[in-house]
Amino acid sequence: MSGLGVPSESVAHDGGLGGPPAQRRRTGLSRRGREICRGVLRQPILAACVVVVAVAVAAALAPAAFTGADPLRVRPTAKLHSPDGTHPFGTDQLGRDLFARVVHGAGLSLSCAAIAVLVGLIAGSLVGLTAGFVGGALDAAVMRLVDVLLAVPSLLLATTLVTTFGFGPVQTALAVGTSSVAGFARLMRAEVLRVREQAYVEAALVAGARRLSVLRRHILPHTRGAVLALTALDFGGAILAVSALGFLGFGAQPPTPEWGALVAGGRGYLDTAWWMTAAPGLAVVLTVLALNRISQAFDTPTGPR
Amino acid sequence: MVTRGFWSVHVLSVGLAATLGFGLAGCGGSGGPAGAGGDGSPRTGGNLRLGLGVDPVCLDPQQSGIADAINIERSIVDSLTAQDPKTNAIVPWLATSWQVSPDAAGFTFHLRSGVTFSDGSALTATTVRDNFDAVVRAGGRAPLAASYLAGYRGTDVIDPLTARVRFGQPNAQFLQATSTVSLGLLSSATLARPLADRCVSGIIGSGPFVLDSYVPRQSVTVHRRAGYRWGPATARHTGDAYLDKITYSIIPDGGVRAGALRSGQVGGVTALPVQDTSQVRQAGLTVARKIIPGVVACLSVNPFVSRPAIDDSSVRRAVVKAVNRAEVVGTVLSDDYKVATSILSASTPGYADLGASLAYDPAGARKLLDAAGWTAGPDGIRRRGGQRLTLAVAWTTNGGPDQEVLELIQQQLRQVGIELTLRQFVTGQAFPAMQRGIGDYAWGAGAFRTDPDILRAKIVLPGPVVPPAPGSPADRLNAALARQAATVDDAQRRKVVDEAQRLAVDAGITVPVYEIPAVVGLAKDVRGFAFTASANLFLYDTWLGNG
Repeated sequence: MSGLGVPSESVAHDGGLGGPPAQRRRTGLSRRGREICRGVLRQPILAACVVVVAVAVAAALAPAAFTGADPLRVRPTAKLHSPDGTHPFGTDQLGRDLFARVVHGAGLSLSCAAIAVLVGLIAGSLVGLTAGFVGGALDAAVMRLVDVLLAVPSLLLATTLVTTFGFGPVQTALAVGTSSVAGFARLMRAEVLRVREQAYVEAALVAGARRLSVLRRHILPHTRGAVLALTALDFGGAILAVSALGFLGFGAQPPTPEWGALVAGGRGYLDTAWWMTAAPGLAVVLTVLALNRISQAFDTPTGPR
Repeated sequence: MVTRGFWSVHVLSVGLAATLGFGLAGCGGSGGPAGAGGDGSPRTGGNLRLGLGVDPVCLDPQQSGIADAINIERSIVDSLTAQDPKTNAIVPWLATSWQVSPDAAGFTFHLRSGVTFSDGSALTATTVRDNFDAVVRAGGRAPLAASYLAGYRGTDVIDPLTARVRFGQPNAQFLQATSTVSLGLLSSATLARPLADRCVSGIIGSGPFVLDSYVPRQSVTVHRRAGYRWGPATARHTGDAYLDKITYSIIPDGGVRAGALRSGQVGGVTALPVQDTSQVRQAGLTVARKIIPGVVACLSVNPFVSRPAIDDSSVRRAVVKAVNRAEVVGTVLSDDYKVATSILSASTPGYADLGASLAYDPAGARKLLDAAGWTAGPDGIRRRGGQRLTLAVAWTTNGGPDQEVLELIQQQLRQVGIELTLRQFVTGQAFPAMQRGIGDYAWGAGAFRTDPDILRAKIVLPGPVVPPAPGSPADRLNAALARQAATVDDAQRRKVVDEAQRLAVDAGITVPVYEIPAVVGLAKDVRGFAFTASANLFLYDTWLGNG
């Protein structure tokens, strides 16, 4: 098993100056992929989590495959029906099919979360990379700014930002993304600081490689593992944050379905129609839990214990 | 307030955990204070706990306009006159009689003698003058009260108990305005304090209760004043109030508020949510309601925009016809609400029944749009010259069922090929956004006032940016609204108000939807509860059966 994990040539490449980086990245990724696949098969809970996320993503991409009902169609005569064969998740106060609304809401919730994660990942990584590699006064200045951002609870920061950006799903995503920049920046900087002390980086610099290419070819690839794990973890957090902002009414404007907004819509009916909060709420909870478990799989090495 | 604190943390951190079965709203049954003690005759004593939906923000009656603030202030502050909730007649309170000059520009009030404020100072004509002068000085910080005093020239102190209020032009609505809390009388000590300080403490009135404390976003407490001898002519008893204390708790979440009532944590709640009303009734609790006089819940045209769709009177009139008001009331609301039959609710003086103009008529709406050249597009939304027939609504919510109503109207308009988009704003930001040209319509969830002048105060007049063409309905509406304020003769004023309502509805400048009730849930042992004419709480006669 361990032979599968770490081929010795790969280590040599990593340490060497002239290894072909593209090829190395491919082998690294496919190796990780194989490990995870084997891990998944061995762990039923992880497998279930992958299924949950896959279903959520499928619902986001092709909602029509799951339900033929129109999520916007109002039917006053069918309002507040409890879940049954026709309406698996029941209907809301306007008689709209809740299953259709949850399924159609997946697209907006997940894409907002994806945008948020991308914003945080790209902006945060750039900031952390620059600060860590350049060091000195710039590093100190940028990281104090990051400290300030970290000191403010991220949901509070996102709420403030979305009030300035205006209401809407994209604004919500940008706000959530911006509030996660600090976390990514800090992690990336720590990784860069760790890697840049390695002998092969010093060797590259001494050999006369340009700083930018050292950064790109020798430092960036080695920070990937930790940052990817944080990305997966942050995706779950982003879904939660986007839903929370949607719950507060900052996100999708009615009648567009979105998970957080659906929970908010049912809040007044906890007594009389529990399914209005339970259905979209379960969608959020299951997706987030599943993503958290998957991010753990990224983080911890699989293999025999 | 543990419940409230818990709820807000809960909402902010992971509101979604609500789904995990924290049945906050549902906690407890209908336990409550047991049984109806008492033999029907009022008892003195007891602490009435009330749950309010909205934080009053400012307890100075001159500066506030929030319904729940007025609900509290009515217990602390008395007015010159009172309005009979049944007949809408103006009856004596702190003024025993009054005369109105023929041109409605001078009002002479004869004050009741022996009235004192809770700080011991006496009510005199000078106090009346100080109060009205203070409102005018506060200007923009007292928008509602100042609008009642438009054209104010001054108050003459004729003798210690006679005051004459003068206006530069006729001000027909002023007499009714003296019955409102906004023009309630405060002691000179209160008026001497800075405006901002007055919001949270030191509100001294001559009312049956005295303010103890106000903790913003948490609670307000008042206690009974001993020696109160000047209740309004509308009251059912004289002398001191019955309740020892009233504790108002701010419980913003509707479900929690209803739960607090059903579990007996509070003896009454304001703004009982639609979806909880039937359960509260089933639990044997009282649901008191009164349709709020004034402007109904409606869409009104944003006067700051000029766009082809909203400028087209056929489109505006089609919207009026395409809204199925009965479906709105039947689906989203309850029997406590009423279908609007004018822009004014039926209990407002001067109301004209325009039910025929407000009938649901989708065929008529389609015909209007066809004739105006809006033809059906591929997605069901009409187009004209490549332009989609889409209208935007700027709206805010105050905790009512606004969103559900708007979503339903959105679908109803879609049936005739009109797309309605909703733009939500936080309170206070909708109006600036409208000024920037956002939203073809504004959603207004009504406005309290038992006088038709509310039309002028609450509907933003057509055309501040794009002046309406001379002779157009919008231009005539502006003229009619200005004229009603200046018309003294009651019959004549009714005629002008009648015309204004027709113009507002027939030209589609407003789209009335439903009449809004004030819905108050009360525990079994709360007796003698009444609404004022403007549908605020009147707790002077209220007593507790087991008190």
